[in-house]
Amino acid sequence: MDFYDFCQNVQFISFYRLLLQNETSILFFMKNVLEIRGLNHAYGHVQVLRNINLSVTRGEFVSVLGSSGSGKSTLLRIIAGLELPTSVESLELEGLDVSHVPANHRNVSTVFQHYGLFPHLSVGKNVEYGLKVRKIPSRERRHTAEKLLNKVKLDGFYARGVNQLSGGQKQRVALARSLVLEPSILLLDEPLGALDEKLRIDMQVELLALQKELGMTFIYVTHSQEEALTMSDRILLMDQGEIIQEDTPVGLFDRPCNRFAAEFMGIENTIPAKVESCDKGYVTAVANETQLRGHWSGEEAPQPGDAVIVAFRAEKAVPFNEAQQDNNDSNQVSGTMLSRIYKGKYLDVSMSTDIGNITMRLWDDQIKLSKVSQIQWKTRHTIMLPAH
Amino acid sequence: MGLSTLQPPTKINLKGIVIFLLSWSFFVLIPIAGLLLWSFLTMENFRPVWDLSLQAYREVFASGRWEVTARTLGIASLVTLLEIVLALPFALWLSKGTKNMGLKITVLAALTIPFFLSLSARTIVWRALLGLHGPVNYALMATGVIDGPLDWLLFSQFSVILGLIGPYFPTMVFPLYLSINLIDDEMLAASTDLGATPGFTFWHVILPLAFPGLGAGIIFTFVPMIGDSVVPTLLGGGHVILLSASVESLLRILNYSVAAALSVVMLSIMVGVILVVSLVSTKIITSKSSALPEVTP
Repeated sequence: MDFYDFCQNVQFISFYRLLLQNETSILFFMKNVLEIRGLNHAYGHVQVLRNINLSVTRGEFVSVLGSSGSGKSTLLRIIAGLELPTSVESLELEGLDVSHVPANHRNVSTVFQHYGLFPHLSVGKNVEYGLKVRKIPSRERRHTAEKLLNKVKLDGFYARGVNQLSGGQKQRVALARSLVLEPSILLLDEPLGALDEKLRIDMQVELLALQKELGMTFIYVTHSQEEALTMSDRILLMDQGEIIQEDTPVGLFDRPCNRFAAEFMGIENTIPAKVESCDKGYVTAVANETQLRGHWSGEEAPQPGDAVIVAFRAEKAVPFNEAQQDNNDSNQVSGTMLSRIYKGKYLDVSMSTDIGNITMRLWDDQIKLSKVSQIQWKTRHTIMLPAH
Repeated sequence: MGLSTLQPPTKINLKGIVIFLLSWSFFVLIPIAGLLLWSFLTMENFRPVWDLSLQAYREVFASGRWEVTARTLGIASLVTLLEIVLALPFALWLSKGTKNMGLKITVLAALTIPFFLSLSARTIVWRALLGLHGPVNYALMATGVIDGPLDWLLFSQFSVILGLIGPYFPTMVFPLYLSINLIDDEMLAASTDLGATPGFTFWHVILPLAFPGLGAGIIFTFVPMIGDSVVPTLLGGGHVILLSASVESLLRILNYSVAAALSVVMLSIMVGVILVVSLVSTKIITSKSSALPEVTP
C-alpha cells in the first residue's frame, strides 16, 4: 500500500465514520419516544410549567420528582393529552407532533393516583375497556384481558367486582387496563401513593420487573425521593414549574446542583460560606474563619469571593478521632452537643459549631460522647453549591 | 321482642317503631284502606250502599274513563321522556362542565326558588303567552310565518305538555345532578385516556353510574305528574281531561265510589311504576356487583 492509497483509505474511513455517526444520530433521534421543547402552561395568571424541555428514550424509566404544587402532575396530564399546553414549541410522540392532539387519540396511557377504575364494570370489563372503544370482538378482548391479568398476577379475577378488591389489586387492574393498548409510554401518577409501606415496596419491585419485561417507556410521577432513586434510569427534579435538575439517581443523590435539590434529596447540613480558591473542580471556602473543602456541584465554576453553600450528609460526619486524623482529606470543626435523638436504627446528634448547627448520624447508638468534641467529614463527601 | 334482644349492637327502639307504625297507619294506611273500601261500594241516592261489588270499577272502564287513564299515562310518559332528554345534558354540565362553585349555587337556587311560588301562579302565565292574541301568535304573524293565529297553542295537549315541562324539570335534574356529581373526575379522564370519545364515555360510564339518579328522577317526576290537577285544568281548558280532573268531576257529582275506584287505579299505576323503576335500577346495580362494599381478602 503506497502513501496515496493510505490517504485514500484514511479519507474513506473518516467519511465512513462520518456517515456512521450521522446514522447513529438518526437512530438516536428515532429512539426518542418523547420530545418536548419549550413547554409553558398557565392556569389563568398562575404559571404552572415554565420552559420545560424533555427527551425520553424508548424503554427508559424516567421519574418526575417534586413536592405537591411543583407542576409534576400537570406535566404528566399534558403528556397524556388530558390538558393542552398554553404554549409549546414542539411536543412530539414517536416523531409525530401531538401538541394539539387530544388524549383519546394519543398512544399513551395513564395509571391514575386513585386508579380511576369503573365501579359498574367487572375487573375483566375494566381491563377490556380500551379494546371495546376500538371495537375489538368480545372473544378477542377477553383473551387479551385474561393474558394481561395473568401478567399482573390476577389470574381468575376476570369476573370479580372492582369494589371487592384490595388497594394493591386495584392498582394491578389499573396497570393491566393501561397496558392493554400497548402504549408507547405508560404514565404513572403517584400510583403507589395510596398503598401501605410494605405493599408499596413490593409493588416498586414488581413495577420495575414489569417495565424491564415489556421494554416499555415509563414516566413516573412521585413525591418520594426513595421511590425515584430505587426505580428510575433518570430523575427530573421539579420545583415551581421548572426542571431544577435532570440526572441519574446516583448523580442526583451525590451531586445535587443547588440548595433546593440538596435539601430535597435530604442533605441535612447546609452551611453558607465564601469562596477562597478553586482548582480542578475542588473549591475551598471559608465560613466564619473555618476553611472547608469540597467539590463543586453547580453548573458554572465559582469565582473567589462568591457566596456558596457547603453541603454534606449527616451520616458522613463523625466525631473526631486521633487515629482517623487526616487533615488533607477532611474538614474539621469543633462543636458543643445540643441534642441526642435516638431513631432506632441510628442516633442523630445535633452539634452547635462556629459555622452553624451540624447534625451527625451515628450508627452506634451506645457511643459515649463528650459535651464538647471535634467533628470531621471527608472532603470528597462535601459538595459546594451556588448560594442563590 | 325476643328477636330484638338478640341484636345488641344496634338495639331496636320498640317505642319508636310503635309510634311510627301508629302514625303511619293513621295518616297513610287508614285513608288508603278507606279509599279501597269505598271503591267496592255503590252509591244510591248519593248514599253508599253497604254491599261489596265491583260496580264502581265496571263504571270506571265502561264510562270511557280508561281513555282518560291512557291519555294521562301517555302525557306523563312523554313529558318524563322530554325531562330526561333536557335534564341529562343540563345535569352533566352543572356537575362536570363547570368548576365555578358560585355559578353552581346560583343555578341550583334558580331551580329551587320557583318551587315557593304556587304552581297555579306559574302556570297561568302561559295563558297570556299562548293565547290567540298572545305575544307568541303575534310574533309568528308579524314575521310572516303564519297568516292567522294558531288555535292549538292554548287549551290543547300541546299547552298541557309545555306547561308540565317547567314545574317537573327540577325533580328530574336534582337526583341526576347528585348522582353524576358522585362520578369521580378521574374515571372520566381514564375513559378519555383509553381512547373513548365523549359519546362513548357518556354511554358506557356516565349513564350506567347515573342510573340510580335517573330512576329517582323518573319516580319523582312521573308519579306526581299523574296526579297533577293544576296544569291540565288551567292549560287544558276542558279539552284535555286527565285523571285528576276526572276524579274531581266525580267528586263534584258526589259519585264517591267511582272516584275512589279511579283513585285506586291511579294508586296502583304509581306503585307499579315505582316497583318497576326500583327493580330495574337495583338489577342494573347488583348485576355489576358494584353495590357490594365488602372487601374480600
